Amino acid sequence: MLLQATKSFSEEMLGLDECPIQGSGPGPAEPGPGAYITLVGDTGSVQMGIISTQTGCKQLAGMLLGMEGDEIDELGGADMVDAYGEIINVVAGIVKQLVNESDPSFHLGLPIFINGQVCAMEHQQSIVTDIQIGDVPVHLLVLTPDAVE
Amino acid sequence: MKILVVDDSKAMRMIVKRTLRQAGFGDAEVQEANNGAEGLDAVKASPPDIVLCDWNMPEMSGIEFLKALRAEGIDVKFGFITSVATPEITEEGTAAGASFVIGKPFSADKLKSSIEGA
Repeated sequence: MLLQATKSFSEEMLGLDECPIQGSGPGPAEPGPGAYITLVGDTGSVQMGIISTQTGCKQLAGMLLGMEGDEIDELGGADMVDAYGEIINVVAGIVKQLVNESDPSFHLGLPIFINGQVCAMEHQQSIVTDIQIGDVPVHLLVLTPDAVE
Repeated sequence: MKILVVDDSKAMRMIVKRTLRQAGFGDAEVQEANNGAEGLDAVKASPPDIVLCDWNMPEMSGIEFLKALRAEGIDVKFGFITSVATPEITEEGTAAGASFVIGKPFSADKLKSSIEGA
């Protein structure tokens, strides 16, 4: 669902038709900067993240703001973090709309930006999907509670 | 035309302003505010023709802002641009007096028709 939402975001806000999948499997994602958000509902919670490199984050943030070339290079840290955080916010909003009919109790948290590696804790599982948004390699991370046995 | 854009994300305010230009509102005077509290001050200081407001914001959310406006008898046109445009949010927003609730991502055409229909 995160993949579907990211594709929808890329198409509608970045004008990119395709986000080719490079691979998918259990996490954790490669260490790197990324924006994360939590979706919390009556039946549980899901953490979602979009992770890239410093250059990749800057590139995607600049694309969202309609910047090109030197403008993107000059995109400052705080503005980059703000714009990159808005990417996960919009993507999570699309996920929320996708799940709303089956479970309207889910609510979005506020996005955060972390430069490092986010790992699953005990009783959690993580799935990472590697995709390409334009020229930018991106890891989509989903952390969910383990299934009840 | 005077438009007040209220969003805690500077990036999203930039995107809304760019989309307003694409929607044919390039001549509009656009003011910005970081949250509902700043928006309330801005409306009182210089009433806009319409407020375009995020829903989830720290300090004072969009719905709290709208309710505060209406509680003070300020009947400015108001629309939400939010990443959580579910039927429940749309119902709550319009019940409080919003003219429309647009989900992100949104197009220039959608923004134009929403503002013109407000």
